Amino acid sequence: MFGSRALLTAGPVLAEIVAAYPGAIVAGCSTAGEICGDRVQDDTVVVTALTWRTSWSEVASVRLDEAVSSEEAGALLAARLPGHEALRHVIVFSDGLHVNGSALVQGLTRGLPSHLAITGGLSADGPRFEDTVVIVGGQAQSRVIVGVGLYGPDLRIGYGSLGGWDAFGPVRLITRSRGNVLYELDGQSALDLYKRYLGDQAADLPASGLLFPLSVRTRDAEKGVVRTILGVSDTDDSMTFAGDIPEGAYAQLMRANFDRLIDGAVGAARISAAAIGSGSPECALLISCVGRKMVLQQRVEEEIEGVRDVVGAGTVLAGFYSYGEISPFTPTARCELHNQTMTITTLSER
Amino acid sequence: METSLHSLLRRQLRRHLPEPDAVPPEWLGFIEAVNQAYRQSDVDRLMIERSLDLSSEELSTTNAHMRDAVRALQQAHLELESRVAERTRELTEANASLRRASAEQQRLEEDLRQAHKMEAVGRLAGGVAHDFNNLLTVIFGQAEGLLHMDMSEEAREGVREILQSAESAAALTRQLLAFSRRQMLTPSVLDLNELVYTTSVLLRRLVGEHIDVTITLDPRAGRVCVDPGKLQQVLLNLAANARDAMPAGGRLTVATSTDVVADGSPTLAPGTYALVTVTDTGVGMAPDVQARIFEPFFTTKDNPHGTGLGLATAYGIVRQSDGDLDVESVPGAGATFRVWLPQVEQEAPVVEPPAAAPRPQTSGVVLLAEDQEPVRRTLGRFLTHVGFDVFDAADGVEALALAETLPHIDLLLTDLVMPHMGGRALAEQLVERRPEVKVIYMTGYANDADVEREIRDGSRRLLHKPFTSDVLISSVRSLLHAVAR
Repeated sequence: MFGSRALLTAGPVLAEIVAAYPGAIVAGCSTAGEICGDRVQDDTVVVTALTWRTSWSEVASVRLDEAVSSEEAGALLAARLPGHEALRHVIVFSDGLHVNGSALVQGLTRGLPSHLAITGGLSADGPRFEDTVVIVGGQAQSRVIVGVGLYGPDLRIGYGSLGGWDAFGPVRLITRSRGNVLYELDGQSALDLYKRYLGDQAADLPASGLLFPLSVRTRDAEKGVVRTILGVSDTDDSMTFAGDIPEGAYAQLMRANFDRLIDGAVGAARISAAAIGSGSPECALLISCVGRKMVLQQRVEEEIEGVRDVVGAGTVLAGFYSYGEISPFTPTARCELHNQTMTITTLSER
Repeated sequence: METSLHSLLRRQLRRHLPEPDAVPPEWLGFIEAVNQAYRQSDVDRLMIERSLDLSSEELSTTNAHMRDAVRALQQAHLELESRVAERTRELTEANASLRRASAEQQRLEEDLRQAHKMEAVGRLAGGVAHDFNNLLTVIFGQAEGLLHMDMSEEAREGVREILQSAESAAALTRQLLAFSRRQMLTPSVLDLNELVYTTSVLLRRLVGEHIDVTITLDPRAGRVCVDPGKLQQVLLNLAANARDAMPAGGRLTVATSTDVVADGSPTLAPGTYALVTVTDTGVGMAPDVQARIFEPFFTTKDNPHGTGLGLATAYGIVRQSDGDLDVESVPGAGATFRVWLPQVEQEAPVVEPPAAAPRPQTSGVVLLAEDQEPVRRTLGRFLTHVGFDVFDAADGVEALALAETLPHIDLLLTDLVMPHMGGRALAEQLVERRPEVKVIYMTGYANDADVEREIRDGSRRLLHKPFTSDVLISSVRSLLHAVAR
């Protein structure tokens, strides 16, 4: 269940849904846009009901105040999911503003069997970046992480994640940072750099910062990861990103390329669907970055249409626009936090 | 609505709709969506242009910084290369210096070996000369005695030939003694340049007109304390060697200069030396020849008159004068002989005119001590023959015992080297008891510094074996006469 924070936290919608599906696990989060079928909408609630023939699911959650760090919270959540030996997959919805997504994934990975994949995303708050909520126990709560464990030998699950952004301009050295908070690039204020590039749109920070995600590459890594802005602070001249910004690593601004964004979504769908095997998946969970939606604007549905072309008309599509995506790039890769990607999890049962 | 419309959309509506204000209400949403797309397109375009401008500017600045950095790097590289080259040069020089030091060390070791070898050869030559001189003394004495006897002219001629041969043999033993540094030297302080200049007349005559002679005198050469006659002999011997190396003519250069010798020389004490160099443009010599050139009887010459003793004699004289003699040569490129002699500060003495010849004394008591019986007998006969009373003994101990039995002794004639007690000890003890006794030493060789000092005092004489009866009698008479005066 995904919806705008306002609808989830006020009014009767959440209670009515919980009441309509007694005994069901209700999980989800607030969004920056809801995907329902081939449509992208704002300020709605989308509900997808899944039933299993032989498989089953369990749910666990962690409040952020229960752990000293995002990594510890991830490890605690993993520990709370029962029956690791029968566990096939974990879908995670996390608070989107107070969690270091990279550390969360590390904690989850540490606490779960190594072969197990994790997908999911960070909840969002439209373009506002004020507060996010996660649905757990029939309530929408801030500063919470929920994990849904999927169990059973008949489950067929695929996943894939692709971006489609182009790096441009000089490669810069990250000269001052701490965790996921960035202060300086090449000895200069990173926030000033963003303001210069954004021009008039700097007034819309941190949302407008999504137009220029950051490609971050450590010295010994061949490929960079994409990091997107969660918040800025003029007080200490800092920028908070959804994942780690290691000091000493290299960073490069990125910009959107419409065609490549659409191609990215299609590519993610192909990778995810291929993992299912023959036949269309019964359901596909689409988690796409809010930054893509800001860039694509009225064309945002083109990436959903691209996914539809891959999975076929019979697949149920549902999802949301997030502040961060969790998935391996490919089924054989390590699970990571991504930004600015379309991340797709396909589900079927034999 | 029209005021917020994108300008392009507004123009398009005017062109394509007959009445733009009459847009059907159901189209308004559609037109608004198009309007937003137009505006978004403008924003996107502006953003791209801005990004392009800024990143170009940044890249341009970065590029300039990189160019500066590359230039600085190139400069640093050049400086580094320069430092590496400098260090390499220093290391090369240090290496060369080390090699030179090693070569110098080898040369010094070779010089030391050579000096030891020459010392050993000198001792051998000296010993042989000593024994020969004793034999020659007998031969001289007996042959001269024969001449006083009645014999045929043919026999007399034969005896004269014996005497001539003995004279040649005596000359050879003198040269051997010179080489072995055991000849009697009479050193005096002299101006080296003066001596070289004086000798140059003889030297030019010696080498002949087919050789150009150049004399270069450096005033700094100063004074040396040497036997002038012997040094002259050294220069003439070197010149003769140079002459033989230039049978087709060439150039002979004799030059003086100075040299400072530091610690570490195997042959020379540290100090300032006068240097005489004798350089020829002759055939030169190989290293193996250079190593043996100063050995007695070593010669490469076909000259049947050469004895192979010229350079050996020169070497002995120079070494006995506390100097050194060496040679540098390259086959086909001539040779340079260098003579080092210690410089002295004192002035050359004024030469006094010789005193008038003494009147000979023809009688007296002579105590003769000589271990070689034939020599003792021959000498006794010489002296007895001219009127002296001779009492002989075979060594110093026997001579002292004999002296106790004699009421008066005028002169002691004694060999220096004898068993039991040598000549000097004998003389000391006898003169202590009888201060009036005069002493003549005899020797097959002599380099005893104390003996030389006694001789210079004039109180004692030294006779080098072999000597003729005339020399002996003349010496005895003149010493006794000097005493009588």
